[in-house]
Amino acid sequence: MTERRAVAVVGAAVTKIGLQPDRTSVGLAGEALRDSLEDAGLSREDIDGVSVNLGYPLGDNYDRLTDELGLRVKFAAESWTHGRFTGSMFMQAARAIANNLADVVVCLNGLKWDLPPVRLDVPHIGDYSRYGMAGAADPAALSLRRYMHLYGADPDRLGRVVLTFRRHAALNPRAMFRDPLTWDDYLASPKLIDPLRELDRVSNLGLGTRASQAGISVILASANIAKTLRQPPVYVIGTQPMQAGPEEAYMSRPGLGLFMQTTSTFQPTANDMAVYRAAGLKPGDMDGFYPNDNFSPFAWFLLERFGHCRPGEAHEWVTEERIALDGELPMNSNGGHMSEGQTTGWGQLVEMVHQLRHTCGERQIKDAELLQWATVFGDSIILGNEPIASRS
Amino acid sequence: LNPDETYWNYVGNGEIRVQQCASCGQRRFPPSEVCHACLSQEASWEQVELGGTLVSFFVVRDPARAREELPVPYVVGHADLDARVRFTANVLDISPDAVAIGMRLRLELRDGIGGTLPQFVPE
Repeated sequence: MTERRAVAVVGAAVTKIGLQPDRTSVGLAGEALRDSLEDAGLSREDIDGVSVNLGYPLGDNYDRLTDELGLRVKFAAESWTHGRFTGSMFMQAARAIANNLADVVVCLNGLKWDLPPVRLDVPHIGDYSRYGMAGAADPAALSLRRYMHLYGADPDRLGRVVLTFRRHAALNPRAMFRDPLTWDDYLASPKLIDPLRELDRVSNLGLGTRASQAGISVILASANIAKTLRQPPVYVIGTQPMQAGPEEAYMSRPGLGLFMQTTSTFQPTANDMAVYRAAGLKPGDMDGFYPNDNFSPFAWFLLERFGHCRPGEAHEWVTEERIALDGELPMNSNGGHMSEGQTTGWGQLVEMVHQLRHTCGERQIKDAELLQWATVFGDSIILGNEPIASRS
Repeated sequence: LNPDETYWNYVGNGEIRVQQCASCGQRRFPPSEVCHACLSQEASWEQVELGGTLVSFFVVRDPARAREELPVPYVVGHADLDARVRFTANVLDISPDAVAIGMRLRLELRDGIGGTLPQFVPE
């Protein structure tokens, strides 16, 4: 048994995000791969592992990608084609390196979204379609309504999340939606899936999720290799995998009574806090927070779930000042899914890498050292610009 | 027949029945071959009291989602039945603006998408 190795992100790239009808999944992934290799100062032959979270039909499968991009690897992994497995596949890559299965692993995706449609994740929803229930916005709306009821939350306050993320996107050249939004715009946005406004959903401006086409490549390596490369290493500081069970309904926070969830009082669990524990950290140590924001209320749910404020407080805790780039806890400095584009969390991970290298220019979070990514599936990743050992 | 088919057969015969575990007595819905409480696969189909309380709901106002059998705006809600199972259905016979979490509802069979469906109405 060899010792587990420290792991760092050494290269990261996202292509243009948006409708690109003439481009293929392989082409987008290949462009991102090339850019990330250049970023890291690596050659393609250095890659000995590949980890894919969006195979066919949302993107292409690992074998097609490795065949067409000439990657020869001894570690290949792929999840069921679904956006929720971004964290899982990032963590698989990190664990392969930590456990000496590979030295340099690329998380590679060409998100096309528009390959032939198949029915994806609809646990128990087969019959729900007979009740006019369809898609992810519906459970998100159910969760939000219960949250409003439990905590007396005014859903108009979600505008603070939406407007702030858009303000960040205005400083991000790769963001799909950069035009400023006003409070008048927000309050005029119709509640087509009431209580969610159109601007509370990632599929805003009528373009839909499928417009977020992009290639994304994130290269991880052992810390020893990382120290020899072009960029300062961005270390993997903490990981909490996805959680599952009846309390883990997709598009919710535990305790909000969605599907089989109970309506019990919620407190963050030991698992929720595990992402901090390995490195001896606490929520207040984070210099920025990157919640999956397919729907704006997830920003509230995730702040509470991962201990940044108490359950029921996020709707008041979040102000435009507090989550701004110079605020107490800057959030989604790239604009998040709602404004940068729906890249299943990869855009946020790439942004975190750039922020921790302090290369984000106008949207740089000052002195960023520790940044946290989190989703409503209960997984979370902390990246930092110093290894764990030197932090304790 | 699998449990879903059995459930809908009962509905087709005008009955709303849910499974009750033969081993531990846990009721369950949606239909499943397995009891989530004890993993037993033996269950009976019971007629239960159909009153319950609304846990949460949303209102579909998107014209693109209107169906002939279900015009917009329509309400979809979760309600916990007094019989200790949670159902998801439309809330009918009430203006969407009057629907509120905590209100009392009962399940009734109504014509809807794909035929007869259990639906919530104010109790």
